[in-house]
Amino acid sequence: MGILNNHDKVERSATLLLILSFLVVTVGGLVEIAPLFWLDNTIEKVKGMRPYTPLELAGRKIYIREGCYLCHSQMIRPFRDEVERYGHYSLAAESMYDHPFQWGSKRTGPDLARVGGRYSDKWHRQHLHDPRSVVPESVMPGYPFLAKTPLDYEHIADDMKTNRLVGVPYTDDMIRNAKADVVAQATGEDTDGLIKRYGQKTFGSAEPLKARDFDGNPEKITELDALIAYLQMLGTLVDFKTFDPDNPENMR
Amino acid sequence: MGVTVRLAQMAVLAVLALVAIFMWSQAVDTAYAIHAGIFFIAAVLGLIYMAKNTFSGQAAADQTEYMDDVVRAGIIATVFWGVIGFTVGVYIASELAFPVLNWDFPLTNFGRLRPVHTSAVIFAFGGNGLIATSFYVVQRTNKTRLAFGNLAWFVFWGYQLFIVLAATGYVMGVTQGREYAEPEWYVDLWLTIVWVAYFLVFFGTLVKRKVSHIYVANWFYLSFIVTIAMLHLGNNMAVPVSFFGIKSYSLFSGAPDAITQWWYGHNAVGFFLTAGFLGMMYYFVPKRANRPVYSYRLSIVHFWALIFTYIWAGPHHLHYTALPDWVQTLGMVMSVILWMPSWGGMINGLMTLSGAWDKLRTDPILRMMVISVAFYGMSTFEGPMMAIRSVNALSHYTDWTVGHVHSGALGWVGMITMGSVYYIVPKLWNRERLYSETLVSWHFWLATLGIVLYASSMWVSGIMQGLMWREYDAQGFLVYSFAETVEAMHPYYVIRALGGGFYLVGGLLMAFNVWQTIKGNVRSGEAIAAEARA
Amino acid sequence: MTYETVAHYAGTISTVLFGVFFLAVLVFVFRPGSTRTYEELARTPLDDDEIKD
Repeated sequence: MGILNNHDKVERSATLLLILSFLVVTVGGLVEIAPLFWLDNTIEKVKGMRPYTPLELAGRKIYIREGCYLCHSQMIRPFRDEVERYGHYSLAAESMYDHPFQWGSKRTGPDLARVGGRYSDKWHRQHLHDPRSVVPESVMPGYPFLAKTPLDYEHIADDMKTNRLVGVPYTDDMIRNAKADVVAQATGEDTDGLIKRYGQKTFGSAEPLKARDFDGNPEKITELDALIAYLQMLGTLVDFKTFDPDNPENMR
Repeated sequence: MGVTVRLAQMAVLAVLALVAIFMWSQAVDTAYAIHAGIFFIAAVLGLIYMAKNTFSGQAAADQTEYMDDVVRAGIIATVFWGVIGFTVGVYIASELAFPVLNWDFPLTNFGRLRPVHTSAVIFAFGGNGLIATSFYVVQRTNKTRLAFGNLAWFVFWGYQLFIVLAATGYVMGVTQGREYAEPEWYVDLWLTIVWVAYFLVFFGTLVKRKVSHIYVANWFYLSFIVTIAMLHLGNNMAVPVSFFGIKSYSLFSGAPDAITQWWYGHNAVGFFLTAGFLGMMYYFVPKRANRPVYSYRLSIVHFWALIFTYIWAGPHHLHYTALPDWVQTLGMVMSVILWMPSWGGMINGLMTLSGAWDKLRTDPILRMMVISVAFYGMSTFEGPMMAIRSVNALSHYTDWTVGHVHSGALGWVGMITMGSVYYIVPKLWNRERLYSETLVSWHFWLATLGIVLYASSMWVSGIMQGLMWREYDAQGFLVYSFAETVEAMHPYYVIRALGGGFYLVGGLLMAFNVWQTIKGNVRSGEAIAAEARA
Repeated sequence: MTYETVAHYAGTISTVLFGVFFLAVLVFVFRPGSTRTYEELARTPLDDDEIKD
């Protein structure tokens, strides 16, 4: 039993303890996380996903800034009640361009994965201004300041470049026209270029690209424009006519 | 310490101050400029303080004594941030009960204040408690002074700076949007530097120890430090848009990003809120009970089984999501297995009192430590249960999760920390006893009542909401709209805020008690009562 | 490497790994002669007021 007698070395060598405990805590992460990056099945093969337009990306920044993810999930589970309440269960493909993911962990408010197109812009404006004026039971904070704050999209092309660096397929054309595309989408004017770059025909999305004066204020482009543009596109991309859940390629 | 070393340290601070000015001058957004300003002020304050000490010819520290001044600072910080964190918690709980309290103003809305609460209690209160007690325990169980001299002070002040940068960032809307890892890339980098220094001090002290074996409490502290470093680096991989702006985008997206985040998130619970505080338990419970650890063998099995298993448990936060099924199953199985090492630890903690159970009647501090271990047992039973997929189908997205976290955080983490604070304060300031043990008793009951109100109201509201969401009528229609389920939550949100309020009042009593003890006061009558008892 | 193989191996390997590791720890702590060391170590917190530097 010579080996065993020497074994309390772990308890006497700080370095050995350090190395062993580090090895022990790495195993789980390696087995569970590493395969996801090269397994083909992690993300389903579907049609319709496209990168966020610059205006939607700016809206998503506001969504994160205000901590919306702390009360709203964007992940519908495959249960009868959730599918009836919110729509088709969420696919991994639907958040493939989300840096970071916004699945959330708590539903103090309802899931937003498919909120796009569910309510009018006017409803969103009123709701974000004073939630209890449209939903009396709501405990959501009001965000009246969004309508008053001009959107800062001076550097939005830099945000897109960074996204491209981490894997979002923004083209040079998209990045070059970032600021013009913000204006086009938030006013609904001169949208030809925007639609060519992000539109339904280009990506085969389920619903057409939405470009209009989201905040109802033609005077200026506000943070409210961006946030509503983001909310109105959530869950409108993947064309579920092209999704076959029984295909082994789509098993997870 | 040599003047040359001091001058070199001052030079580093001066360079940091210059870097801060450069960052400020190049800033592309206001929040970044403000943070550069805070950074600059911190560096300059450090510089002034060091200059004062160096040139006033202050005597070098006595190397034959434990380095306790940094522990004293850490304990004060623990109490301070505890009160702040509890206060913000009660406030945001009240916002959910009475949404008018959001004031429809950016700085005060729930979404921005919630990370302030979570970071203040986990990282500021818990983190300071862990750093301070680990410095205390590692010196005493290894019979040697902290390694690397004033580096421990850098750890302390650097960590406070991290907290201030994180919290001020949240209210300005600076966040990565990752739960419990909200600080942006440059704050993450700063924390990395501080954490490496922390590791060096702790590990260096282990290396230069004067005893043959490393006591098990230090194993838990060490694995906490090392694993948190790994998790922090793994989960915060992001590319900044500009080196002079706040915004960054995470390297991963969607499903891989989600599992990375919950690998981090669950092990922030496993290693920050569990392993670290088990280190606390394995020192302070035997110390206070004046009994040896019940089974040292069990503590070793506890350690290896716990750290091996915890790291796999993250996927239970993502049941039924778009994460591959096999990862979910693996996470579930490991979460259930985790029940066993957890209860092994609980039994070890509780049984350490065997032969000293009578002390529970007379010693409110020991009572606090014991109830914390009991809450540890309760939450580590509830956790594996909630990790079972079919249970999780009901509990996920509801307040049940919130209640679970709080029975662990308020019950286990809070109580073991506060019990240790009550034990350590008279020792550190050379007082014979606390200002008042009666106040500790009050604190104990207020906190316990607060937790009971909190946890039970969240069980009811969570399970009720989960059931309402899936309720169908005879015709096959959903019975409740989402808004109706929100309305049903209201009374429980009020009770929860009340429970949090009780816990906060207990925290304030602690702050008062600690302050009076440091001043050297003893509440009139209590000294005599204590002597009569002895 | 297909979905099935990964799912299968991840589960099997990790279970075996855990079992072996756990048994190894048990064997280790019950090694002959450990009892006295552990009884002494269990008392560590009780005797620590003096620095040895």
